[in-house]
Amino acid sequence: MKIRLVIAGRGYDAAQTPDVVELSDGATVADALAAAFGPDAIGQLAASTLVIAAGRHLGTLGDYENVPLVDDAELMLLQPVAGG
Amino acid sequence: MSDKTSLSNAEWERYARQIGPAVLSREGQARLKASTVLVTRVGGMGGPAAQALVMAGVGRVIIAHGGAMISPDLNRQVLGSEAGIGRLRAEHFAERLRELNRFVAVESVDHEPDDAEADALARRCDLLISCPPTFEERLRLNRAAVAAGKPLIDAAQWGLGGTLIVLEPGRTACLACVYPTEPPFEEFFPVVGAISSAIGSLAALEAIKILSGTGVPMLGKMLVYDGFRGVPSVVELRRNPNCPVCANALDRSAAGKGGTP
Repeated sequence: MKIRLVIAGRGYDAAQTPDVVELSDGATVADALAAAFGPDAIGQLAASTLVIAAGRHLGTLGDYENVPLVDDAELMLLQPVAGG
Repeated sequence: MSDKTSLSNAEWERYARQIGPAVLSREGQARLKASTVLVTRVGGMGGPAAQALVMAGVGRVIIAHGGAMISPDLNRQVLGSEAGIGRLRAEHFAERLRELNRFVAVESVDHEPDDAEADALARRCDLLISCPPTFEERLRLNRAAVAAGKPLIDAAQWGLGGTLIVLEPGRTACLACVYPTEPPFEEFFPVVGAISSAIGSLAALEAIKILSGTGVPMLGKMLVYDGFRGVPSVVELRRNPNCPVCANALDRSAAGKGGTP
């Protein structure tokens, strides 16, 4: 199956990740992160980055619910923004 | 001059275009007049938010923002002006807001509230809008909102995009549920003023809905506007049952005691 990967928030334009990740059926969020980033996603994005799958907030990269993904789901990694 | 809850003929005339089917009821407009909102800070997002609240007829708008205006503020801070460079932001912004609507009371605080002041301001308000550049301040306002049982709208921006979160203590996630650890601070973040105004205006719209009892507020949700791609997303935020800030917060809306109608 294919998962759409979106990097949003801080640094979105600098993200060097694929837009689509190919995974075997039944793959989870952790599998998608490993396919896109290798074994160390937190090394490339902040631990406070929000993990959002199919519009559902799962936690942060430091602590998220590792749910199964479905074909064509969007996995969004939102690096928190503040501004002012 | 009318009292806190009734509107004068001049006020009804002022708000005529926003009262009717699918917008505000007369009762909703009166509720707006009886409301107090805290906006901190009042720059790229808080400025347009405060402007929209004042123009809509929220009875009292309290703005908090420290420091003096500098030239780089003017790519996004709509309450600023060339003449205001070097002046205290809070004072200058309050003057600009008062020029917009004589029926609204505008108070200014010329610094960022500390814990005690945030708590005191939250108790005085019916709703808080959080627009600071640091998560330290945002999480402080969140704690104050939860302690006071008042809705909090958190507006944020970066580059061409932004996020908007609408929270109600005891009923939805709080900001500490979403950001259990403080994300890094970026002092010189890039931003285009158009997204600041858009997110700030949407924050005001959600505030007006909550305070007036109009429409369906996006409680417990986060709007992510990816301006780089031009794609909006809505995220359902999960509440952390062990959240150190809100786990024991009461759902005041369910108890019929909330600040929201």
